[in-house]
Amino acid sequence: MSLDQSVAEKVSTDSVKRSLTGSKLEQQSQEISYASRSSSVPVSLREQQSGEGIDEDAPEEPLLSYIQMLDAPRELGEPIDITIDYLKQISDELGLIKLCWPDLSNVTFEDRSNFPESYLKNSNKEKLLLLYAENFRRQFCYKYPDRKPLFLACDNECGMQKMVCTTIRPTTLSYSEICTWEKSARFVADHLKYEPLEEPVLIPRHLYSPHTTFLRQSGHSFEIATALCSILIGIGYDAYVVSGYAIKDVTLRIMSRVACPIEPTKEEEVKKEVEEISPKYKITPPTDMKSKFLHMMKQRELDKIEEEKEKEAMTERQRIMEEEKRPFDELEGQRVHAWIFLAAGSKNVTENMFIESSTGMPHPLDTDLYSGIESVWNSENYWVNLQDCSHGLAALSYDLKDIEKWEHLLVGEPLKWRVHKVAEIGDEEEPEEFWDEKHLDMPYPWSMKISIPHDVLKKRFPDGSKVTQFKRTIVEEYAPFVCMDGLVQKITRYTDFACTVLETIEEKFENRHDKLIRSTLDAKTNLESEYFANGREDSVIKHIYYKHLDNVDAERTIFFNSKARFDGLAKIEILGEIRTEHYIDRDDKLYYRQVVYDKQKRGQDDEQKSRRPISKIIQKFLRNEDKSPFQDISIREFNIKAREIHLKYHYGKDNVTASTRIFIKPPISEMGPDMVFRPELTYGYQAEIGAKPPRQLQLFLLLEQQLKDEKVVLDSIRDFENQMSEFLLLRAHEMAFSNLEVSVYNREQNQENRLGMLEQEEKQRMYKEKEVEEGIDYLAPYLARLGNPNSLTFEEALIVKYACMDEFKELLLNRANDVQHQFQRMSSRIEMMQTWYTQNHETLSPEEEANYFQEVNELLFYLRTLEMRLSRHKDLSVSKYQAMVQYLEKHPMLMDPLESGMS
Amino acid sequence: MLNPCKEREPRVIDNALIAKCIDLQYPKGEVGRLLRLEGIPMEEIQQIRFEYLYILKIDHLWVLKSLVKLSLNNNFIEKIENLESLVHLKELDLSFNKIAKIENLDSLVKLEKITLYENLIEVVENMDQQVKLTVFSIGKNRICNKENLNYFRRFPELTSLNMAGNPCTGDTEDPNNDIRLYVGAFLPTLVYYEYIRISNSEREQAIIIHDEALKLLEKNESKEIEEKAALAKELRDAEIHSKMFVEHLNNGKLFETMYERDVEGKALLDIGEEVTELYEEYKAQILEYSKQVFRIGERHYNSRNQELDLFHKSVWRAKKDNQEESIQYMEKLLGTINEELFPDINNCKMQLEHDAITEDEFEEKIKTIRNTFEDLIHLTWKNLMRLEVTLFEQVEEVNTAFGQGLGEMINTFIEEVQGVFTNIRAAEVTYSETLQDAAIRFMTAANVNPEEEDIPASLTEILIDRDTLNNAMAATHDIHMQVIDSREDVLIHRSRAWLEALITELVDEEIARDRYKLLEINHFLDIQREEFDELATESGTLYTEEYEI
Repeated sequence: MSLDQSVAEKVSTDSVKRSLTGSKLEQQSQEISYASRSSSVPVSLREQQSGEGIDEDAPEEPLLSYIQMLDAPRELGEPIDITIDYLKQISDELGLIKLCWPDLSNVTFEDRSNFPESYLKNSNKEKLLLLYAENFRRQFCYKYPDRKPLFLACDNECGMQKMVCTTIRPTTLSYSEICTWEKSARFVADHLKYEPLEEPVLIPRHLYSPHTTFLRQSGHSFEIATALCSILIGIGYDAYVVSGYAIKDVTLRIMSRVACPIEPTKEEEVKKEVEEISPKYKITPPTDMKSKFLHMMKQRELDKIEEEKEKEAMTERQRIMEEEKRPFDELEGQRVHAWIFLAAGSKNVTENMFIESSTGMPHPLDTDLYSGIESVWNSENYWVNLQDCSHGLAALSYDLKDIEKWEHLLVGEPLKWRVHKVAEIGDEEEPEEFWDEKHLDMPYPWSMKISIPHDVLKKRFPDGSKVTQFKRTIVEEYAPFVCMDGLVQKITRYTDFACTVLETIEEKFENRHDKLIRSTLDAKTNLESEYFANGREDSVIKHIYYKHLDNVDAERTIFFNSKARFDGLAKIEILGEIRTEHYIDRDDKLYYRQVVYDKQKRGQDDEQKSRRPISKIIQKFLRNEDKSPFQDISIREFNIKAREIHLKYHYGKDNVTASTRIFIKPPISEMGPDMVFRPELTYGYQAEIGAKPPRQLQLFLLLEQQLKDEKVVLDSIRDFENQMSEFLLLRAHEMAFSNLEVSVYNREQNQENRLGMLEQEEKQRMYKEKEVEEGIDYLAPYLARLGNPNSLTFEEALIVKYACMDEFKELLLNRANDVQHQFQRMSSRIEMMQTWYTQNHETLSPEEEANYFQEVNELLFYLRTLEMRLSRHKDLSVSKYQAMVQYLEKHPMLMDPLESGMS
Repeated sequence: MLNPCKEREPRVIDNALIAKCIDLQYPKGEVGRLLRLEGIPMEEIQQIRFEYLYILKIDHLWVLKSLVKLSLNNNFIEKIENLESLVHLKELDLSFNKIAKIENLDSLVKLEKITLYENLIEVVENMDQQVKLTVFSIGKNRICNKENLNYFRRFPELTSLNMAGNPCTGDTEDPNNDIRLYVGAFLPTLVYYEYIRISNSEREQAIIIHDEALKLLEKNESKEIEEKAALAKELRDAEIHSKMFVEHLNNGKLFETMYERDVEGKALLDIGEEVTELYEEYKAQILEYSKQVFRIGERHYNSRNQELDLFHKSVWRAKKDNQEESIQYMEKLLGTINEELFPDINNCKMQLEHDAITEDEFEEKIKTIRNTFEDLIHLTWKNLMRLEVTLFEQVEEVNTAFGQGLGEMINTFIEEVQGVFTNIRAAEVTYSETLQDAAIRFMTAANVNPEEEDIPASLTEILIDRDTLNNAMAATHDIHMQVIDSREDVLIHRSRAWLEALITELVDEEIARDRYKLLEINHFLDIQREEFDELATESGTLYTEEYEI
């Protein structure tokens, strides 16, 4: 107790205290005190800065509340039981390397036993390495007593201490989902559940193998980083695990202050290419006569307003910044974390960067998420950082070969960095150099290769789904076929930080039968946009509507894949009483059609109930170069309500006016084939100067044509309306009963196929089994007739034998007769048909004739088959009979009595 | 009617007859009524029939300019004539006449269907221009020779032919003489003969029978076709090259022209091997130079075209922008008139009708509307005019710049070409000198031992003495120089003329466009005014009428 007290005055942290209480073995205790002192230094330094001892200082310093809490039990001065576990814990915390090699057997870890040898034992080389590492650690502690303990070795899942470098198991997995560092990082982050460290400021107690990490689909930052590093090295990147310190958000994987990496999908705007006109003949613009002063004044006013706005925006931004600022963290800079350092130079990596293995996001070196680096390692070596991290990690040198800045564990590793001197032949110094090169290198990784079965890979997330809260955004991700409606991603965006005011919902779908791939809902306007892949029967690719107003007449816009449609329809807009259709590439040059419905309600009579009366139809046509512009209609308006037809022709070259023509339709009673043309019912303007006014006949023909067209257009509009309501019905049905499509190549999901395949396999197996059982006893019925005796007498045997042979002969004969009989019947039938045909072929209809020929052909084919069967039967029956005879001779039931009888 | 002979008296075609025919052949229904109402201008009639009219002579049909279908069957016509101006004619029926010869059809290139049934024709001829011929009937004529059928091989679209009742088709028993088989063999594109389809078996049979004759014919024809194609290609090339101003310079044409009229030069070539060598060398040299010129021409042509393209694009753009802006003004005007002013007027009229306002008030209102209208028209006019004037100035400016640019290009072109021509002249001088030396040497040799040298007859005159030789030499040299100079001049003049024509055309075009635009603007605004006036005054009359009642 007294010892306890005295030491406590010198050192401050709990761990140190514990370590000293555990000092039983002399040598070790000394060592521990050494280490503990060094590890405590940062804290004690701070205390010295504050000027006084910790006991008095702690209550006044809220900054040290955590430490105070840790200190609290010391104040109580309760004696602590020193157990093996306790000692182990202390040595773990200090990063000590145990130099004893326990025998482990029958280890069970999370329902797994049967671990391979390498998990349970350290090979000699590993032992050597651990000794080496321990030596390194001691030297390091001696030289840098202020540094925190190094993370050099750690217990694996079996409790066996393993060097961290050997835990990395480079693995190449041939999945396209993990072939680049971006994809791999994202996959690992998605696939593995993140566990925060139990003690945020201490190095972890265990480090499972990457294989186990993937099996558990869970791990703390060191395990996940090791797993990701294994994969990255496996696919050829120069990646390192970094052990250091990060901010609270990172160590606890709090994403709510991180902007969502998935940008809202924006509409691609097709930029029109402005044709460059060579400056040589550029038209000089007319001189600008406007007052510059007035313009300036106006601009000034505008600027003022702009400024005001800017100010408001500023304050708003500040408010948001304040809201989103990270709260104060008392352990800032002390939280232990591990991530990945990806060095430039391998594959397409051009810059050094960090990858946060828990989120899969890459970060530049100057990121503020990480505050310090203790050490980095890969599967070949271990380097300790000797540089000061207080100026940010970007200021560090990442040249690991620089021994001033990075202290390496193994000399001359990795091998590829060594500069090989080409040994000259006959060089006598060769042996010496040879021995220079011979030293300890990293043993083979002890972990098993990472294995990810395909179905697990496809599932991607630990439970097939993952929900992440980003800044103002919640992202839900699902593996394909997990959701019944094909949902794979749902991004909900909010306008406020607390995620209470909904802004948009974006959903992505896969494998849907209705080809829906994406939908967005704008919460403010309730505007829903659905995007479809190509291949729908109605060629819809985009559908925008208001979710709360989803009926036939409601406002909506539908885009079509015009190339897949016969009518070249590209877009339909419905806006109140107006429906506008856009077309592309039509033969009749129509590119626009607008239908204006009457404001009054639907017609009263039953037939017209679903129809809104049309008041106006406007069609626009592109210029048809084959016609004169003055004859080529550009805009045609059927004003159905006013019984008028307005035509507007195209503009001629350099013309600024276009011809127009207005027809007032005669009353319905006068229409029809006997329609009389009345010139007073039409008037128009002719843009072509000097042209003769059109003759009445021409106008009449034009009018006739327009009336005809009007009917056609009306019909097609009504047809369209039907199609629209059908489409909406279909959509409603598709949304209600969403079917998923499964590719025939998808083994996991295509249950139908899979079952079919299994069934086939089963059938084949059964068939094979049956074949094995096929040893049928032909004599069974005959023996049964005799009451299945155990043995037969000579006579009985003879009777049985001949009976069997006779009956077999008869069988063969019968079969031949049967075939012969059928053959005759068929041929007579054909003959009959032929005579019938010769008698009647002149009166036959072509169909009957075709039928006749087909029938005769079928019969002839059958006849040929019979013929072949007969000849084959004749050929085979002799050998079959002989085979039967042989079978009988060798039959065990007959052989003995017959032979004995013979003899 | 009483005198049947009078009816049958032969006639000629005149306006009265045409009018009568038109009148008889109006279509039925509303179309016919309208036609009758307005009358069809003769030049717009597309089809007409003159049947059983005892017409003696085709005449006076040029008034029916746009005829497409013409029937003159069952008349007494003896000669095909006076149809030249009916260039749109597609169908011509001249059956049951007394025509002896096919002629005067050269201008009717659109003819597709010709019927000459029962006439007096002996030879099928003079129809080379009717490449679109599809249906041809010449039954019951006097064609004796079957070879006439070969004439139809030139019509690729001919599908139906009728020759029944001609002397050459009399015998059908002998397969060698069967006209169907003959047609089947020699007219492979023909589908119907005597309006019956030629079956495949018939055609096979025909080909077997007439195989030899057919092959011979095809061989001759293919030669002709090849020659024609080559000629056509040459013409086409020359056309393109003349646009480059270097026509015929990529072959030896220049050299050929040099020697074309050069009697002495040709004679001098007979001197011997030495001169021939010289000549060949010189020829190669000239060819090389002319090819150089050709290449220069080609290059400059391309760069000129690029320049033209650039120019047209930018002017087009400017015009288009201007046009669009003007159209906007127009549309705005029309919009206001149709949607505001006219309804206002109608409104006023209504009010007046229902005595909501007095006549004075009405007049007052109409007046205000009229004022607005006038202001609007004026404003639009001003805007449009401003736009047009700006555009005109802009285009003018660009045109000048373009003219200068192109002028420079043409000048460089000419300079380059002139350089080459200097080389050509130098070559000519050298050639002439060497030739002279050779000639003198030859003459001396000939004079020294006249027996040994065998002087060709053509040379005797030239080699009389040194002076004649010199003269001859000078003459050839002059001719050559002339040819070279004239070629150069042609090139320079043509290129300059082209440029000038182009610039004038541009300027004229622009002026014409400007005038037209001004006209159009005023025309349109006038019409708007008229319409407005009509509506405004109409209301007055409407009002007064009602008042009277």
